[in-house]
Amino acid sequence: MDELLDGGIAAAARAMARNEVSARELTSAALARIAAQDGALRAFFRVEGESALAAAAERERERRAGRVLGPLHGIPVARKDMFDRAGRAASCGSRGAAAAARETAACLARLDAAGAVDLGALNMSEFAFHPHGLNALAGPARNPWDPARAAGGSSGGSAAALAARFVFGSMGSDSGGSIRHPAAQCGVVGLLPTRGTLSRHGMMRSSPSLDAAGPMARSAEDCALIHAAVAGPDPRDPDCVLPMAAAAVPETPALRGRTIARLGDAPLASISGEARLAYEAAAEALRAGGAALVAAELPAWDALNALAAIVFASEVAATHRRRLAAEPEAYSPEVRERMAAGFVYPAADYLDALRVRARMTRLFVEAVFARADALLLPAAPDVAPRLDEVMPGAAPRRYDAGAFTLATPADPGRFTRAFNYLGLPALAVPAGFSRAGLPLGVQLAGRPLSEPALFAIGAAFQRNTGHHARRPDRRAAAAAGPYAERRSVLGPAMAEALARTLAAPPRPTYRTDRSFEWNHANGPDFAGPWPVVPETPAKDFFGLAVRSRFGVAASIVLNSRWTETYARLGFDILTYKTVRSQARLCHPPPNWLFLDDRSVAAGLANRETPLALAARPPADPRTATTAGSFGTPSVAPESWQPDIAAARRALAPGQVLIVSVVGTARPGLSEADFVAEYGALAQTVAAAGADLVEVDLSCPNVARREGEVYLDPRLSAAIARAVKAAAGARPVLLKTGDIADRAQMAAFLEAVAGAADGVVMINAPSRPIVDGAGAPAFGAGRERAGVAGGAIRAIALRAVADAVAHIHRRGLPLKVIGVGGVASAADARAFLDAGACAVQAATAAAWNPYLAAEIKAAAPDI
Amino acid sequence: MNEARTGAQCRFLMPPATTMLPDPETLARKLADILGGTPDRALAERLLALCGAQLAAARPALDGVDPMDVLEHHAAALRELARHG
Repeated sequence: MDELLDGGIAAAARAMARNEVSARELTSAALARIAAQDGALRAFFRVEGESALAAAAERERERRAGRVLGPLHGIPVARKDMFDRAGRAASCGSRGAAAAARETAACLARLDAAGAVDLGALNMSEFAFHPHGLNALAGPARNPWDPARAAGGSSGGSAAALAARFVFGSMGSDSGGSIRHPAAQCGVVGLLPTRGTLSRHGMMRSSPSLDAAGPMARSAEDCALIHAAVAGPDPRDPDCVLPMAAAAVPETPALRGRTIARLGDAPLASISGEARLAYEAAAEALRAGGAALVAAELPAWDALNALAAIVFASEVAATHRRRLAAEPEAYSPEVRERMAAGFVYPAADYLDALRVRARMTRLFVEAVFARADALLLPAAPDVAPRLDEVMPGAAPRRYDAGAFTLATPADPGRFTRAFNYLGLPALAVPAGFSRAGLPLGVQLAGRPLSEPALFAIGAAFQRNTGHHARRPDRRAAAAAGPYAERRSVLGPAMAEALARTLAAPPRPTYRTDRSFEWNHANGPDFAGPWPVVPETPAKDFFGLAVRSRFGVAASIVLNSRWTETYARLGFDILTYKTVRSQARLCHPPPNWLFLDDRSVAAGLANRETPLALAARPPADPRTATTAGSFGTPSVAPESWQPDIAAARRALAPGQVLIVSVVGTARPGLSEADFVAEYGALAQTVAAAGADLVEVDLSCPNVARREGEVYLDPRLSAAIARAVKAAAGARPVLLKTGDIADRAQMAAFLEAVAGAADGVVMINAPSRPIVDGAGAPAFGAGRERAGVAGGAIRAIALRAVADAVAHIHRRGLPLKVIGVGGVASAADARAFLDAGACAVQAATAAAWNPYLAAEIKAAAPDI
Repeated sequence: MNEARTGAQCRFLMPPATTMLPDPETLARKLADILGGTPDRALAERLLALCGAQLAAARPALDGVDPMDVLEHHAAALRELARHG
């Protein structure tokens, strides 16, 4: 079955025709592959397995009745999440509310009529508005060739799903390169069709003059089959009037007799060296295959790019202006700012950009295609960038995310957007790989309605090069994949046992089989039943009245939605997960694994002794010991600032919000600036609504400078003073790790007393974590992780007791909050008895959302 | 192709256009009206720089617009260029 899923549409269709496989079996296998691998890639926003299996069953009935609808009969496909499907709501990559559609989009209806089986909605940029696929809904799709990299945008989920061999085809959209750019960066095929040949009825509109729906697939042949099914006039799209003589690719497509125009040095100067090598190799492959190459200029190329940008920006602004005003939370700050450009251009210039369009198209076609069948261009300026290079706030930014408003040398759309303006077809095909094994692509553009020729040239090129047949190493994705799928390490029995654990109660509110971004966007995974939280008398917490001295440590309260849930569950001292002054991606999954109890018992005392993963899920995950490797991720300040305010509003009287902050160590940052950054963060979170500010001095798996600040009393004190000065009247807490050397602990406490009001101890101790084969369990470069849960309770209790004893002995103005392995009222009581002023849980709070209610029932005085 | 121009239409031929972009303060107020929030002069300046550069790049093409050019000509041009392929 793997071979069938990895192959082309024709081979799968033949296998179904010969009854070697059924549509249901093929669909089930595709769904199983998605379930196994998409946790790491996030190609899908929503997998619609039930309806897909029902459609596949119907295809089987039709086939048995002798009614085969065409070459796509029973073939699994998917759609970018901006095409309407009746009864479902398309997110368009936004967190804003979306209504269920009443009618299915024209091209999806045509795919249905052709027998294709739709598996679900694919990841995309927010409102199709980012060249690298960023969105606030579930985070960007990751590139199957390297999950640390972007899949491209805006149809990034489509490209990732195809490269990962989840589906055979996808419907994407392209207003400036949104099909061709991700296709190139994931090593798949995508078509921008001739304007007016493919209906956009039921597709999200951005820029009606430039928007196009288009097919994506793994080969030119497959792309041609999908195109043939969906192209053709549609009276519901007034622009879709041109008849398309769609044709399958010939059995033996030839390059002989074709003339291909190629670019000279000047226009190619802006692309990377490796993209240039791929371009030259593609030109040579076409020549070697029999095509004649001729030199071409790109007439008025800068003007065409600018005209496309003016039309795009102006129309996007018009499309979104009402929603921007009425529902601002549907847009991320970066998208809002980029959309604002459309309000700047004068209407007369926008209209002139459209009026001159026919003239520019004639000029271009006559200059380029008078003696060429196709024009060869790069499809993207370079390989896919690392996601941390393109996140909002990331610096330095190699790629210009403002590309729609200003063409720059590294502009991702420099070779794509002009074709949307001209209305000419362009086919992106894989053109080789970088030295690091990352895909590169080229485009073949042609005169209007030349798609059959472009597909034929693309297919012949593929047959001569074979680039399209290479697929990502699944082990690479698995290495970054979710815990349940780390079969190479865990074995199938463990993976299945864990899947059962995750499916049965108690289920964690934080889905450990999903990415951090998924949990941030979709969590907490708790739908009730809600407990009856006992009323308890008020207690003092740093001068604030609280219902209990119990809450959640900086860990799983990822945003205001999590805050609201845990507050309603009765947790009263809630710590909003650590925020930074700039966005920081989470490490790829897995992020949270169970540890083997015996290995922990034998090795936890020694900092350097590796601890092993559990061979099977623990009997009671609520008290288990875990390892976490997240890297202290953070969304951008523009996102967390308003969200902290929302989190504060979600609390009831007697509940308090602590916000955890961490400075971001980076090359060239002076100590003074590092300290000042903490101060600035404290000021911002205080203004946003934090009742208390917690300073994270101890993340166990990030840069040493960030992660072990608490071992430097002088620096810790400097940060505490800066934060105290910035936080106003709000109490300041310092989060530390376990300071095994008690003299060092004493020095720390004395240094920070007077500046900080309290110490939160302990953060998860940092230890090496290995898998069953002795290799780093979280992958190379992430050898150490933070150990949390049951086994650290004793260490934390001793640390709290010793710290409190020293504080009392020296009369220091400090209080201690106990954290570490708290899973019951008895555990919480032990910390309070040791002198802690309050207690927080993390692991147990994730696995037992009823913990606060249980503690209040058992011990109302806590 | 464009129809032949009449003399009356020729009277509307204009010299190359000059774009008048708003000043930063005006734009900042306009954006605040549309997007909400308070006027952001820095944002307005960034956008004016970007849009000014795009308009300058497009200017040679924009100055080539003929009064007879209409939006519908593009679909016709695509048909015609396809026929002659």
